[in-house]
Amino acid sequence: MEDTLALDDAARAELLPALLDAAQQNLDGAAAKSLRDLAKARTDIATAMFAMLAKLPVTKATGNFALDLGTDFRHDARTKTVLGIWAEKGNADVKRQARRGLQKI
Amino acid sequence: MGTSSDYTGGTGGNWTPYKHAASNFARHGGGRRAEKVLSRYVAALGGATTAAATGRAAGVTSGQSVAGFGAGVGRDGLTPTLEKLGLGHLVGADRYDVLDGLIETLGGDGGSLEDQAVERAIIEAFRELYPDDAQTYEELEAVTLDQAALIRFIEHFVAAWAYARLLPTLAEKFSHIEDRDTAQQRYAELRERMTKLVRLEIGDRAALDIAWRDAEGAAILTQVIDQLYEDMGDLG
Repeated sequence: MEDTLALDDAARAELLPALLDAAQQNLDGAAAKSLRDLAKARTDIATAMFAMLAKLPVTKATGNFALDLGTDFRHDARTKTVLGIWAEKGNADVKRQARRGLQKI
Repeated sequence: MGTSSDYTGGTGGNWTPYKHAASNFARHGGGRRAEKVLSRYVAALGGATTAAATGRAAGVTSGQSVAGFGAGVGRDGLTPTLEKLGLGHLVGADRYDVLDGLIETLGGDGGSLEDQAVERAIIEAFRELYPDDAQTYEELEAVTLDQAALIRFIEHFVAAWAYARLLPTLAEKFSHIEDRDTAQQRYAELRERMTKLVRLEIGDRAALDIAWRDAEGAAILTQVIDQLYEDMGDLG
């Protein structure tokens, strides 16, 4: 992650689409974790992550990622929007974890 | 720890589907079958609320002690923490004596299956905290805990405790298990979820500064344990 943060803006922008793509394929995978860590450090990456999440089919949402959002981005207003949708439309586990996350916001 | 010879769970009612699920998992393995084991185990105990409540007191009390110890080590170091626990005589002792003294002090008397689950979880948590190559007191004392490490230490204890409670009921079915990787994978998944639940509950609070031995720590650990059993119950 430090290596990615150390890149200049242009180089990082080139890497971001691939990272977003890999993350959305598996929100419980390593790419999603890297994306989340980078988003905690940089607002532009957070914006890209939330844009990806806004378009993500709810079937790809996971309970673990809902808990991570509720923990790491509890002060970000966009978290409430994403978790609100997941709490309404996700599978049983996603709904439950999204609700837990929303309770902490 | 109990074994199949002294405890295999109850009979009839919700224990029957649980034992079928455990047999299927032992024979064939697989993630879906493992999830059924966990959910039917919770059902056999009377549902998530009852399952959590039956052992919660032991889990919360010992969890508070374990977390309090971890926070003490993180804030003040091993020696002052041992002294506060009345274990000053262990300062300078070797790994075996220090860990033995801590397990005896932080765990129950080992007389019941619940006590044994607590003891096993404490052993596992300390094994995680103090790697095998930390043999001398100086090496134990060199281990430090920051906020994130303390959370990992606590989640390790809670997940190991829940697993240790489940284990005696599985022992007979697992005695011929061939799919140990799957069992390990289930444990890893359970632990990953535990980590996230602990982090969510702790939130913005500084883990090292939480009053783990008081109502604040009890409330956090109670919530984590209740949610863990709720999660397990919903897996089926």
